[in-house]
Amino acid sequence: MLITVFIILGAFLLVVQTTIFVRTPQWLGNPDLLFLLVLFVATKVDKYRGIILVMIYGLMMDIFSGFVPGLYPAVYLGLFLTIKYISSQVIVDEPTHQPPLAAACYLLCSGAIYLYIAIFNPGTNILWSWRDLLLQMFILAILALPSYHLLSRIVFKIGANGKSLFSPGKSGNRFIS
Amino acid sequence: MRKRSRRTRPFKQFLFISTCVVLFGVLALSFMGRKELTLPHRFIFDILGTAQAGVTGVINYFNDIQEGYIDLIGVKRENDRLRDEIKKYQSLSVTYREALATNTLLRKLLDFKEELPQPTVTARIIGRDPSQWFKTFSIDHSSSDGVSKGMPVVTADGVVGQILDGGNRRAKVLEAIDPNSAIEVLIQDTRTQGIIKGTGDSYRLHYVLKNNKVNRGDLLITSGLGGVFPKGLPVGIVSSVVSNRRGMFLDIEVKPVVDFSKLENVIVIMKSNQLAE
Repeated sequence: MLITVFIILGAFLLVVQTTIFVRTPQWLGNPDLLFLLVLFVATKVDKYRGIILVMIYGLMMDIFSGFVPGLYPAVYLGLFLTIKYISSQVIVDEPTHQPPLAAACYLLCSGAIYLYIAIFNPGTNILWSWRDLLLQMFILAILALPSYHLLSRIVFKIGANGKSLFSPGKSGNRFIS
Repeated sequence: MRKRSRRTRPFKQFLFISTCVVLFGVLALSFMGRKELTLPHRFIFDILGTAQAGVTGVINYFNDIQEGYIDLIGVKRENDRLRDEIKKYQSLSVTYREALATNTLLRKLLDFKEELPQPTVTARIIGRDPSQWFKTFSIDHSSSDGVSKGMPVVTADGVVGQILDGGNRRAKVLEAIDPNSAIEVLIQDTRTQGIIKGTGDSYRLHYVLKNNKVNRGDLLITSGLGGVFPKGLPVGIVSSVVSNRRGMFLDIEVKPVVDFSKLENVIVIMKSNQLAE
């Protein structure tokens, strides 16, 4: 049920991103809300459900963005696995870690997209603007914390008996994943 | 003392009554036949009139306050009613203005459509690319309406892009300002040919030799070569021309004729026998 809710939430955020936020002035930027959702899934969801969710999000983004099929599923999957690996070594799922994590991950994803297209679609050109990239990183850093709290609340509300359904086997020690 | 009061009482009464009678007689005789106020009348009138005016002024003052207060209640009600009416008419005015603007835009599109030789279909933009890497948007027509990949997309102002891909109900359009877009064009005045490519928010004209004369303000139109865009559609206006020391070609920046940020409706030019099938 939670996966269903998150898929619907992802679709809703994408629709909002492609219809409402694109009408704002360019200097204001267009926040990538789905990216924040992917980040949350990568930090809080277990491996198997997380992979399903990020692949679906990637497919949805592929439909609306660009014309290189498979780009976003690959990038989101790579992001998911990277964060899972990092979180096994370092704590990254605390609220205070979210803003720098969001900014850094967006920068890495942008570089990954550029490399992916350069290697697998060399004939395709991509728009690269440092101004837009830095603006997006800034916006995501600001929105990361409130979105993290909101999504955590949603998970808590939907989870049975107040426990998170994403991590059924979690021990009381938060330093053990 | 008692003997005195018994004798003087009837006298005092008689004196009083006779004085009244005399006075009455004097007054009756003095006013008989007169139509003007006498001097005593005027004197008394002036004094009493001044007092009257003062009292009336005070009464009027308080009367005005009272009437003003009562009037204000009515004025407030009337004001509220008129404000509501103004709001209603303002919103109607906005609706009518929007309808007029849409009407004008659609008339422009319709006139332009009728000029195009091939069958066309008007589509509405329903969503834009969420990422910063590509310049695409979605329209509400697709293969079920005869729209297929590669078809040019235009407006009355000029070239917008071409159909990239689509599902059964929606199609994706690659904007001409995307770096992956390339259109064969020629300069309207000099007929110099080149290829225009997107830079994200404008165009760059490539493969124009340095010996060609290109000026700022020159209009670029589609050349019809390549079979994608019909000939003669406006694409952009030359905004800067730079001749570098190295290289054979001019470095030409072109400003699009279409404002991509304000697009709402577009026309898809379909292939000639698409609708018949």
